[in-house]
Amino acid sequence: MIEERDHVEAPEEEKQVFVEEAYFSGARIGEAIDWLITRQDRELHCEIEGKLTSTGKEVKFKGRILKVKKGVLTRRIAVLVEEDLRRRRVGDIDKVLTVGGESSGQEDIAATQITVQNFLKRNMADDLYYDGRDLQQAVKDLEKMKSQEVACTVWGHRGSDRTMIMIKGTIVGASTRPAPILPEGTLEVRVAPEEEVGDPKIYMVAQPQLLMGPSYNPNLTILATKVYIQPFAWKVAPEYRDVLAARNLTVTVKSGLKLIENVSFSIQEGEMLAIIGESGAGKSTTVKALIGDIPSTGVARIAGIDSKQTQKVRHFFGYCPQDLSYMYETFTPLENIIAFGKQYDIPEWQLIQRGKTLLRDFGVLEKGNSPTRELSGGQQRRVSIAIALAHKPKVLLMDEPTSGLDPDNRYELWSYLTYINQEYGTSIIVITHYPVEAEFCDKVAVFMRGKSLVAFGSPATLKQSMPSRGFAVGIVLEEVDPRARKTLENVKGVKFVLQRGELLKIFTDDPLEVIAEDCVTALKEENIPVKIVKTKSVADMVDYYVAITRGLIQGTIEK
Amino acid sequence: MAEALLKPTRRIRNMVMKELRLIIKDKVALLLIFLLPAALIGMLWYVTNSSSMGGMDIGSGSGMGGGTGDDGNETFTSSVKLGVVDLDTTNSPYGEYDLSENLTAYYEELANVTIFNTTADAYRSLYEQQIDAYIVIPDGFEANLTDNFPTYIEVHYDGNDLLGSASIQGIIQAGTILFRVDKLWIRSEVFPGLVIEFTPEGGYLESVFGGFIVIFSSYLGIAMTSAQSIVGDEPLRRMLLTPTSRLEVVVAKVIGYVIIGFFQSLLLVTLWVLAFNLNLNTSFFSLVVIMSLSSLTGSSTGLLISAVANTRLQANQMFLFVLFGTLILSGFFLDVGILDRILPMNQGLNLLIDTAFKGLSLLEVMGRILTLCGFSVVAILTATFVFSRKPTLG
Repeated sequence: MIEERDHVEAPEEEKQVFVEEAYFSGARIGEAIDWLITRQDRELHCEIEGKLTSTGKEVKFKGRILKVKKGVLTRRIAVLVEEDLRRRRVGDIDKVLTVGGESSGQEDIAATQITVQNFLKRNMADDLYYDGRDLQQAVKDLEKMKSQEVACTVWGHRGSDRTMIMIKGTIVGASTRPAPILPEGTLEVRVAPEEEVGDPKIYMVAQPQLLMGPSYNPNLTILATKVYIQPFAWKVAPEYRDVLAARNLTVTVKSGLKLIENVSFSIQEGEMLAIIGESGAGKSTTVKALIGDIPSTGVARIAGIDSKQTQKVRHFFGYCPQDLSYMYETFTPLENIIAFGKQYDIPEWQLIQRGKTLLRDFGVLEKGNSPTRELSGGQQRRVSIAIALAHKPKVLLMDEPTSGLDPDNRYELWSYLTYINQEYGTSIIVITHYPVEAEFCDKVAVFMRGKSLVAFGSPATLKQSMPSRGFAVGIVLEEVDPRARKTLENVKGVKFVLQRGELLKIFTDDPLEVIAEDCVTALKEENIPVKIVKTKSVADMVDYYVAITRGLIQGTIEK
Repeated sequence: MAEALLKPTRRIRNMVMKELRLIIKDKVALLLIFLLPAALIGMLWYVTNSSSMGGMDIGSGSGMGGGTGDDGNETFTSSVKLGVVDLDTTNSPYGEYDLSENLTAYYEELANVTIFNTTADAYRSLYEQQIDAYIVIPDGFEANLTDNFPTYIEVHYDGNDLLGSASIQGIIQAGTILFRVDKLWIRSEVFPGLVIEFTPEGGYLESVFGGFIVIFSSYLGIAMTSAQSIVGDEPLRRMLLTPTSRLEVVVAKVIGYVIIGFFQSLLLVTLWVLAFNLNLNTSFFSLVVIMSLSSLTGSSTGLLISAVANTRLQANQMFLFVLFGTLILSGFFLDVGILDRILPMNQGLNLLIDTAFKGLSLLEVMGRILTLCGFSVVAILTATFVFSRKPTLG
C-alpha cells in the first residue's frame, strides 16, 4: 500500500504549476475522493495507473478531474484525459474516463495507483460531466446555461442492438419526460457527418432504462453511460504554448513613422509581465497592437489566436483602461459587470454569480449596490478589474493602473493583482511608469523611445546582466554632496554610478571589496563624509531602468 | 449560420437594455426627454387659450373679409391656381351678361383659374394639389345679388397650406372688390366664406401647430439626445473591446432611442389629442407608428452626428446646425420645393398631415414611410462607416 503524503513544494527556478499532491492506491479510492471533495472548488488534476476493464490492458494517463461520486456502493472519479502516457502500446482511449477502485468492474478503469494534484487555483472550467443516469440533472443545468452551440460527447449503447457507440455533436434539444418511476432527462444531439459525407442526424440520448418507449427510432437512440458537455465550446482556445506572443510586431502610421518596430516577446500561462518605459516609447501602442485594436504587421497571438481575428480574440483577454471613466458611473458595480459581461454571451445568472465572487475577492461586495461614482478611486479601480475579469479571460491587460495612486494604494492594488494571478490563474500584463513595480512580475519588458523593445526577461535575469551580476558597492553619505558622483566615476575600474539621494551605487566588473576601498579613499580625499559602506549592494529594477535608459548598459531580450 | 446571426442579435438586445437602463438611471435626462416636449404642448395650450386667434373654428364658413385689396390689379401676377365651380343658374333681370361668369373672369385676371362642373371634382383636385383653392358660386348667386339679399360664395382651401392661404385670401378679396366696383348698380354685397379643408375637427392652431410640435419633438428631440450617444459615451470604448461590433453598437443605440421616442410619442400624441379635444382623421395606432418612424430618423440623424463628431462640443455645434437647418427647411415657414420630398422632418410632417388631417391610411403613404426608413438605413450605415474608422482606445 502506498503511503499518503501531502507536501507543499516551494517554487524554485521554474514556476510550479501545482503545489499540493497526494498519492493513493487503487484500494483507497474512497480516501482519494474525500481528498478531492474537500478541494472541489480548485482546479484538480490526477495521474492514474490502472487496467481498462473492457480489455484488461494497462493504461496510464494524466487528466483533469471532472466529477467525483461517493455513494454507498459507487466510488467513481470522472477524468478528462489530457495526456495518454501509454498511447502507443494500448491505443486510443476515451477522452473522458471513469475511474473506479482496484476491483471495480463498473468503471472504465480499475485504478491501481492514483496521484491527485491541487493546482491551488480556482476551477475555471465550464465543462460538465454526467453519468448516464443523471441526464435529468443535465437537462436542468442546460436550461440554466442558456448557451447556444453546446457541444456534447456521449458514450453509451445503441437502442437497437446495444452495441457500444460514441457520438459527438451539438445539443439541439433537452427535455424531461415521464418514465415508470421518476421523470427522465433526454437530450437531442445533432451529429454532423464525418468528412462531410451524408446528412447530419439527430440522436436521442436517453437514460439507461429497462423499457424503451416507441417514441424514437431505436437506431438513433443512445442509452448513455457517460455524457460530457461543453456549453461554451465555440470559444475554446486552440492548443497553444505561450498565452501571449508577439513576433516582429511593427506598427507604422500613415506618415511612415514606425511607432514600434520588431517587438518580439512571449509569456506563458499564469505569468505576470510589466511593461515599463518612457512616455511615447510605444508601451500602449504595443498593447493596442497585441489586442488587434490598431493595424500592425508581424504576429500577435493571445491564447493561440491571431489578434487580427479581432472578434474571436476578444473572448480571451480582458482590458482594464487607465481611465476610470470607462465604466458606467450611474450603474452599480454588479450592473457594470453584467452590462459588459453579457456582450461575451454569458448568461446573466452566471455573471451575477461570478461578479459577486469577484467583488467579494476585491473587497467591494458591500458596495455592490451603490452607483460606481460613489466609490473611492481604489475601489473603482478594483471594480474596473472585476469588469475585465467577468468573462474569465486568459490574459488581463492593464494600462497604468497605479498612476495617480498613493504608495499605500499602489501596494494594495499590486497585492490584488498577485491574488488574481494566483487565484484565477490569469496572466497579467501591466503597463507602468514605476520600474519598482516590475519586481512584482515574472517578466519585464523595457521600452525606449525610438528603439521599441530594448530588454525583456525576468527581473532577476535582467539585473544579472548588469556589471558584477547586479551587485554593486553601496555608499551612503552623511549628506547629499553634488561632488560625490563625479569623484566616484573617476575611480579606476568603476563603470558607472547611480545616485538616489545620499545613496550611491557603484557598478563595476572588478572585485567589489577593492573598488569599495578605492571609492572610500577617493571620497575622503575630497572631504566628503561617508556614513555606510556596503560591499555587496543588490541592484533593483529602478537601477536597471535608469542604467538602460541612460545607455550605461546593453539590454538583453530573453527568447 | 443561425448562430452567426443569433449572437449579434443577442448582443444588440443586451446593448439596447443597457441604453435604456442608462437613461432610466439618469432621472434628469428622463425628465427632460418627456417633460420638455410636454411643456411645449402645454405652452401651446396656454397660448391658444389666451390668444384671440385660439380656438379658431374650422370648416365654419365664417367670413374672413376685410382685406385692404390691391387696386393695381393690372400689375398683379400670381401663380395661385384657383378652381371655380359655378352652380348659379339664375339670371339677372337687369344685366345683359351672366354675373357669376363675370366674377369668374375677374378671378381669371388674378390667378390661373380652372372651371369645374361639380364640387367633388374640385375637391379632388384640391386634394391632389392640382389647385390651391376653389370657389363655389352657389345657385341663386345672381338673383340674390340683384335682389339685395346677402350673397355668399364659398372658398375652400387646404388648411395645411399655411403660406398659400394668405395669397388665396388676397386674390379672392381683390377679385370680389374689382367685381363690386365695376358693378356699382348691384345693391347687395358678395361675401366670401372660407372653408378650410383637410384639417381635423377641433382648433385650427392647436392641430396644425400641435402637429408641428409633436413631429419636431419626436425628430429633433430624439436627435438631440442621440447626438451625444457615441461621442459622450466613454465606456463605449471599453465595450468595443468586447465582441460587440460597431454596427451592433449603432443599431442598438438607434433602437434604444426609438424605444424612448415611442414612449415620448405616446405621451405627446395623448396630450395633443386630449388637451385640444381633437378628432383626428386617423387611428391612434397610426399616429404612434408615424411618431416612432420620426423618432427612428431622428435617432439615426443624431447617431450620425455623434459618429462624425470627435468631441461633445463638435456634436453640439453640428446639432445646432441641423436644428436650424431643419426648422428653416421644414416647409412650415418657407416653400422649400424638392427638399420637401427629401428632408426627414418634412417627410414626418407630411406623413402626419396625410394621415391625421387628410385621412389616408398607412398603406397609402407607404412611399413616405419607405423614404423615412431608407433615410434611417443610410444614416445608420454612414454612421457605422465613420465610426469604424476611429480607433477604439484613442
